[in-house]
Amino acid sequence: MSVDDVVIVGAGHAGVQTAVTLRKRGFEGRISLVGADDEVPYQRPPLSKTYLEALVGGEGALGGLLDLQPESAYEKLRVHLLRGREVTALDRDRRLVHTSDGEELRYDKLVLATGARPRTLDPPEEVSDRVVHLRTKSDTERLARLVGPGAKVAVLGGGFIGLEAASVLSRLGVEVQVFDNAPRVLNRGLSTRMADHLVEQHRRNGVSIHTDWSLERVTTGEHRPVALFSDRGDGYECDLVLTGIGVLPETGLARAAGLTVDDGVVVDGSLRTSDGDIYAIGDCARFPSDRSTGGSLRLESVQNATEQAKHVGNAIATGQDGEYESVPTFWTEHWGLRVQMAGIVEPGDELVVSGEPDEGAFSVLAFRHGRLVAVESVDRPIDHLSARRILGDRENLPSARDLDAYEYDLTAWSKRSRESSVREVVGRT
Amino acid sequence: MQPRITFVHPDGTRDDVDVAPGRSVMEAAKINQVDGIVAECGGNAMCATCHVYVADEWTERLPEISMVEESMLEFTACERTDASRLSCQIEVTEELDGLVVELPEEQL
Ligand SMILES: Cc1cc2nc3c(=O)[nH]c(=O)nc-3n(C[C@H](O)[C@H](O)[C@H](O)COP(=O)(O)OP(=O)(O)OC[C@H]3O[C@@H](n4cnc5c(N)ncnc54)[C@H](O)[C@@H]3O)c2cc1C
Ligand code: FES
Repeated sequence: MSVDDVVIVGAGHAGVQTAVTLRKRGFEGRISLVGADDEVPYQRPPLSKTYLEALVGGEGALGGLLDLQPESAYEKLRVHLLRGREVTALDRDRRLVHTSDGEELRYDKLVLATGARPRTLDPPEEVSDRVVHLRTKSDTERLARLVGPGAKVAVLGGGFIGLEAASVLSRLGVEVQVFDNAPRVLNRGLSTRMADHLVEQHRRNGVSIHTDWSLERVTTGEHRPVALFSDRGDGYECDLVLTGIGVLPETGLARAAGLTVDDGVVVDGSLRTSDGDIYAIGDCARFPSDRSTGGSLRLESVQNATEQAKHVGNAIATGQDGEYESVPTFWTEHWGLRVQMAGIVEPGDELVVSGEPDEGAFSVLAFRHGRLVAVESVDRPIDHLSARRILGDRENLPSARDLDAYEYDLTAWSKRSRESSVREVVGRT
Repeated sequence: MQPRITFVHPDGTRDDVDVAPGRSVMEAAKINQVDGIVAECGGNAMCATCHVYVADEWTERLPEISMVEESMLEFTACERTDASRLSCQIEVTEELDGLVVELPEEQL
């Protein structure tokens, strides 16, 4: 059956890349890209980094720097971009999606790229305008309007986004304290070794981090507009509460349409949902992967969104589904330290440090069942890029002993192993 | 007057943009909506997705390639040549008025 109409729900990193790849791979049919956000589709990572810094620091908006694609690209690529419009329901029998303005869009293939939404606190109304999260451009703009030098901010939740924002705000003269109910912060998606290193940077720079701190209530303060109280009764007054307490995959449409959902829209190895004409990608999708002990992953990263989009764009354009496989990567920035991750680290992995953390640049190598599974690097981009290559070659993952022989120099090992595999092939002929 | 930079796309079409000195060539492309540069890391010399080929007559006139850029250039998606640079590492100055760079087929 020929594919004439593709509808993509969600115009974020994954949705936009799907449209681009479809055209690049020669798809000639109609592409509708529906996004709830009013803005030209933009990148999210800067929202807690450079964009926040530019707005609070007074440099102002960054023009087109945030755009995922130039605004003119959509017309050039003949992508029908419907901005500020939500898909409200899927009709799988008639292969239609319904939009918030009453339109019906027909599809042969449908791509769900709906992302995730922040968990929220539901604060009482009198303080609700002072409790913000960061997911959209307008969130960052709202935060920037409410703080300036001398302001006090409570960051609730010590994850990547909260701590990135803490470092930006604190550098700009805002007093920041972080509160987390877990015994450790940055305890998801990062090795304990690297988390400790980043926490140390924050502490050294004056950000107080309170762990084992469970929020009991948010209310109006006496001296500042908002007050937070823990279950032990200690309080903190501030101008603003920034919540970074995780996200929930946006799975409502899929669930209502009867697709399989389990903390994410469940997809198979080629990223198809339980309906073969519907794909799900990016933050909203749970896909099979033996990189995780649990056997499946739902990742929240630009690389994951982009690579899955390319896979699906290609599959639809060529009519050929294949197994999706890619080395997961992620990056984060704190106090000028740039941390890059490749692979998936889990609690219990054996960790080896290469380089000198005290001097700034180093990597943490994680091993599971004796094989390298992840590398986290601070200011060592070469390690990171070599790690991507090494971890992509699933058949030849090095052991700690293999790498020890090369003093844990990943680049040297990856070059050597490529040379030796060439020799092997030559030897066999 | 702002320096002018020309981006040549793989299909031969050209985009001329004027940009304030102090910006990088990568930013010049982004701000002016020139397609073909990804710049995943935002200009930190960490991703190698802002690769360009500098026109012959310009290669000698650009600032030298740093160690970091040199090693990152090993990881570009399209083949690295003598003309390869990371556009985020080239700062636009008045002397670069008229610079011509070619965009690779792919950045990722
Ligand atoms: C502040 C912040 C910092 C981050 N920093 C990093 C980082 O440093 N590195 C990194 O790798 N990742 C980072 N991330 C994560 C990264 O941005 C996400 O993984 C990525 O955006 C996922 O892309 P996506 O397309 O799946 O979802 P999204 O980008 O969230 O896009 C989904 C889109 O779908 C739209 N949508 C949802 N439902 C509907 C509907 N029914 N109808 C129409 N439209 C709909 C939404 O409005 C949204 O625009 C960060 C995220 C945030 C919020
Ligand atoms: S923008 Fe990432 S290396 Fe230039």
